[in-house]
Amino acid sequence: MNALSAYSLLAHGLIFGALASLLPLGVLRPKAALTATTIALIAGIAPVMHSLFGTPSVTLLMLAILHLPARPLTPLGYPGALGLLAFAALFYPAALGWGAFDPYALGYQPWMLLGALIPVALALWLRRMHVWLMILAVDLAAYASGIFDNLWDALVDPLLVLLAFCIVLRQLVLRVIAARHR
Amino acid sequence: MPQAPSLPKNPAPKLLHWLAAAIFLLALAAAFWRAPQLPPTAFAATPVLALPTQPPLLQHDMLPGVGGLLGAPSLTRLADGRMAIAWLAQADAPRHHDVIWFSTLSDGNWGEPYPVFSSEEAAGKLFAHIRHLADPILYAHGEALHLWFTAGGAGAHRIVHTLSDDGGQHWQAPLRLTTSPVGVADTRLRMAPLTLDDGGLGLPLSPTLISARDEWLRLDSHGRIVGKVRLPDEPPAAPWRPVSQPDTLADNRPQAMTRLASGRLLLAGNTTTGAGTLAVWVGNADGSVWQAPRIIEAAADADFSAPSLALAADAGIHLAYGWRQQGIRHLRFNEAWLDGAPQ
Repeated sequence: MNALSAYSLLAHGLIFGALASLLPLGVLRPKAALTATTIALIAGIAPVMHSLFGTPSVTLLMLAILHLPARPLTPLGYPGALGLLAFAALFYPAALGWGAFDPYALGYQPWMLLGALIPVALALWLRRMHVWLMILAVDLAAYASGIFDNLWDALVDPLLVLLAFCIVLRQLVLRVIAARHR
Repeated sequence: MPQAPSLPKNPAPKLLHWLAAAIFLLALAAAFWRAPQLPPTAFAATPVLALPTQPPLLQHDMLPGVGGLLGAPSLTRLADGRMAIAWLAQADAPRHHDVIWFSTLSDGNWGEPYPVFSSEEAAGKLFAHIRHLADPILYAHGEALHLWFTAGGAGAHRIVHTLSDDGGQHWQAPLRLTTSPVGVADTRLRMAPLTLDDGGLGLPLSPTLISARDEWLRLDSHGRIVGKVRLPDEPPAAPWRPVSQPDTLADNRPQAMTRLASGRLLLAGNTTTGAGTLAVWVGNADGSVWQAPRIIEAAADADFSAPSLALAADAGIHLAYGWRQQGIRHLRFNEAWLDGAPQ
């Protein structure tokens, strides 16, 4: 097994565990997450997720890990999820062939992309958003380790975009319900 | 009133603030260090040889049978001068697996073929759900022998790469190449790679999901992706230029092209009549003029497809193609035969 496959399987197992931790199980949440992670790795759920969704990004893995403890951290809120959806709406069609410019190709020789991350990191640091700054640092460290050939694969993936979509959808549904109850 | 003594400020938040910045800068420096620095893309030029006059040569044989639905051969010349071939045997019964077979040509005879990878083995080594294999591409680059193929399962195909440094006797563990940000994007291989000036390779890909644009991967000498290029609709002045294709060529069928020792181009593929006719076309050096086709095979309701071309060390031309899905046919000929054969 190569490093990328090992990372992908383990990451999908943890993501599956984080999904299980969304269940309203109270104090049993962490144990349910651990059980779900183990089942995903043993029962073949992680390889199927690996085949369907590809390798998950380090960003998604970090969000999943932050959600596993008894007191979960959920740094991805509505504004961030909306921004991610807007980015994905431009990035993915272009990467899949819409237009002559392929933004995904930038990730293979990511000098420009790394330079563009500097003001992003500066903004996070000035706003004291340390969790996101650390997630970004782990992303870059994972790319530097050689696991990923493309920097984009460490930063973002379709499952992360799906998570952002669910967050935005949930917020819209709550607003609709609140508006009806007024 | 005397002021109440103030408690000392907790230095942890300020420490965390600067520590976070330091950790990020360290990771950023590591990422910059890892990022590849590549020279501009330049394809290696194929040397043109002054060939002595040779009598026409045409030899043909069938590769040893291995069972299954056979096709998609890929020829290459090894570093020691021998010709090698890989081809696909698709499962023709339930519970059978797709297999990629390998053989080498020595003293005019093909050796006993042996399996390189099966779909079951690829699934186990890649820890992925793989049901089908397709598009094997074999290419010798220096001492390394590369094999790419597509592995399909759960509705998508992905490119897999493996390497042999002993002429195909042993192969490294296969690696999946990530060519798209979407894991389920259907990416297929098209034809053998071209050598770059920096020692890397350029591997053509199937057209993109949206708008069917052509793309190719830039690989280093070990087969690792270091770049990806999407070709524009309108080719720029340099280094790309449009190449015309013969009117009688079926452009929706697999093709193979190689540059001959004389500098001319040789194209192999099906004619517009369909998969039952396989032909070769000789073109000038820049592909602007093509001669009439030389028919290799012609039969109604037959399937002669997926040709592969390779040049031998003696400038001889080797052609392999799927023969009625029952076997792989191999032809060896030379430019004298191409120039003198009846149309």
